[in-house]
Amino acid sequence: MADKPVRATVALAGNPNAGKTTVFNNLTGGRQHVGNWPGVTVEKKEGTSKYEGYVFTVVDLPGTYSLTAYSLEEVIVRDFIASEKPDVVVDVVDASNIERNLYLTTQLMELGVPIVVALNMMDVAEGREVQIDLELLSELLGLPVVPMVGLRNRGTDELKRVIVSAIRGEAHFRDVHVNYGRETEEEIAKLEQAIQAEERVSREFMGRYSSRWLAVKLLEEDERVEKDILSNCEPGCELFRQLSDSRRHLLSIFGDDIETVVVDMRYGFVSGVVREAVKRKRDEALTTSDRIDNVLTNRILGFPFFAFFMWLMFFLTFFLGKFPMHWIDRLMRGLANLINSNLASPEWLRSLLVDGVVGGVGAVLVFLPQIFIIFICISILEDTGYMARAAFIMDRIMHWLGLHGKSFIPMVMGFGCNVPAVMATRTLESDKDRMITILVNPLMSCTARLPVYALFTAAFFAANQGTVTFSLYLLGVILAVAMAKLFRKFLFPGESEPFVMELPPYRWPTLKGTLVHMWDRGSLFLRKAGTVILAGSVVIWLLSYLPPGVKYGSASSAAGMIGRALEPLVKPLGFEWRAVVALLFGFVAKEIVVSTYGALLGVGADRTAISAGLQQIFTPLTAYCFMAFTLLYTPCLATVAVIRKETGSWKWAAFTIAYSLALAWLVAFIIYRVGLLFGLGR
Amino acid sequence: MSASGLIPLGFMRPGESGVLAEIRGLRHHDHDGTGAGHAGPKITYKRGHLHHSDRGHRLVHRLNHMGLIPGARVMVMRNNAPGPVIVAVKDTRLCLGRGVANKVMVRPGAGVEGSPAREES
Repeated sequence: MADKPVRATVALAGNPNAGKTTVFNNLTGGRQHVGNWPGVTVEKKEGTSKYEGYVFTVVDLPGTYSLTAYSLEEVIVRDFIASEKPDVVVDVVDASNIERNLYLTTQLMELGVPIVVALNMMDVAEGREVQIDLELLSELLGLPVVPMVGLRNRGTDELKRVIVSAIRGEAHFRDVHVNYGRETEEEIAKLEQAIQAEERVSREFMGRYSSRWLAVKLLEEDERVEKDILSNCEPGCELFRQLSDSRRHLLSIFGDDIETVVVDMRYGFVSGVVREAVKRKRDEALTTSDRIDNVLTNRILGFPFFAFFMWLMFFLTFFLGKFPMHWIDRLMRGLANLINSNLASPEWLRSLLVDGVVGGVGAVLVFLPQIFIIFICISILEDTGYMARAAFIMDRIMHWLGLHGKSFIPMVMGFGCNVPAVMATRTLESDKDRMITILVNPLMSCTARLPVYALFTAAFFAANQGTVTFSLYLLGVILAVAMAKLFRKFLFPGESEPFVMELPPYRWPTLKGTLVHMWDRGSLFLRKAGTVILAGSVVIWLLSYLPPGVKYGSASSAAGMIGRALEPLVKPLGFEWRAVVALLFGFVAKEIVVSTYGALLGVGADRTAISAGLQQIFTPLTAYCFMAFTLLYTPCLATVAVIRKETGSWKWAAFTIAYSLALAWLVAFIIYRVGLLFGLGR
Repeated sequence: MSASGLIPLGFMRPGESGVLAEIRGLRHHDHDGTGAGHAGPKITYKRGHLHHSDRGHRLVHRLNHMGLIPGARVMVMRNNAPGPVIVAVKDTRLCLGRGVANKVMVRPGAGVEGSPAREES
């Protein structure tokens, strides 16, 4: 055997929620996020895997039900397979839902690439007493079939072995394709000939696609294939004429649109395979998932359960988070004391470390436990499959906003972090729905706002901290709803895309999966603390320390000068100059608002001291206005960047910055003025 | 129930089942706007003209690819009218918005157990 590893590309395709990402993680040892709602993998991901002198580049493609040109994901999958020509395509099939899953297999087969069927979730199928004759299935499909239980990492080695044998040309392949019936097959044959005869078309496409695939797609009236092919031949060409003839002929026979006939035939083929190779001991019994759904999606009980789960999420976050928060708080204070007592000079270095670094980063790190808990909760909601039910329950309310239930998933994810939430909007089919969901997402209060609420509520609303914090979350949700309604009316008029979504069966979340998921998202916060927040804290320290000789963090420091110059803008909201500096830096990351106050008040990470300092410059009313402003104003840099990426234009990123800033100012102004009217100024 | 014996999925109660007959209002290219279906195939598109971008057509095919095809046996699991519906098609549970559920026409009660393929084919 050669010493040099042989490189090969393996693509993973399959239905949404069939477990592709789990198989991907098993193959590559990766830690890509796995959820239990259709569409978790919104872009293709790559990893590497080794086996017997082979190094595979494994590509996890988005889940699709089909390979039409109707959705972006489907186009991504078929373009990748056609242009990149992977050595093997692993078709991940959910054994517990084999019939629907094999429908995609029939289409992959037509692309003319070597396919290995990874028959995943065998345990679930066995649990439902579904018996699959693997050998017969393989024979009928003409493809190698590997049974797997992805969640328990069973079957991975066998899959690698079969992939290698497929690359070596040793695996069992038989040329099987769906027979579309005599009349259709005749037209397919004629079209294939016409395609091959058209010189430009065959030169452009035949390397990538088989003529049969192209012919079937033309009959199916596939937008993209039709556009690509017909733009490569003259309007009166033979292919064009043949296509017209074939369609007219088939329509006169079937009296139905041809795509429907093609779909029927594929299902017919799958149905035949399943009838032969799959035996069910009990038929269509109510599954455990159905029984749980009888309660959780119940017309009357569904909503209270949903509200309870949301309440539980926040209760756990604030209640359980309190304890480790105190420990970190104590640790930070200890650290500051340690530096103070051991490092007397130079004064600037002591100040940089205590006020800048410990004060800035420490003030934010205290909130790490709460952030991790909220991510665990969101992870559990996703992994159990409950998130999809939440979409079902909320559909009616979302409908009223001109959106549908599926838009609700990114909204809940926004409570964790707006960045993955904005990316999760890719599962929405309609561009308009997606734009609205993206634009209002920053109004969902993410974990970065928590430190600000925690600090201010502790200082001003110690008796009812929970209620005040809850009111801010609610304010965010209400405004998101209102803005969605406005955007639908004025920016993206029209009806929302019809609501169609698969409900995955409930699954127990695995401890490993939940922890990995929590760590992946939570560690971003840690990294942010070590980079952006650290840098921001040092800059704020510098601005508070300079010019030399000035009292640290005073109005005559550089920070003070900036703040005072812009103070007139926030004066009508009852804020003073420090608020300007805090909000200005909070644009980088909202946690920095807290660090800034630590620095500007000259008290570092000592939360009691910050509280005392804040009480000098805010009243409960202005404190509440400030929290509302922090919630609503300009999303952080990372969110702006992801909005720009997902909408594909700076225009919408700039629009989000502008509208949220205006909204924040207006809402804070109204709260302040109304509060004053009611005599809440003191 | 209509004269054809078909009933929209959205009107069925939980536990009721039947065979999907058609997905209404969207099935055919309605060239002349009369709803009469095909007046004959019209292939009048020019280069690059996207003649299939109409939502109805896309919806029908999305539903087809998810397993909702004529002849498939369906069972309503949950009907939160005027909210969405959960329908079982084989081992799949699909959540359909009210608008969609009312376009899916079902022949109640009938059907061949275990065969999702087109009845008439």
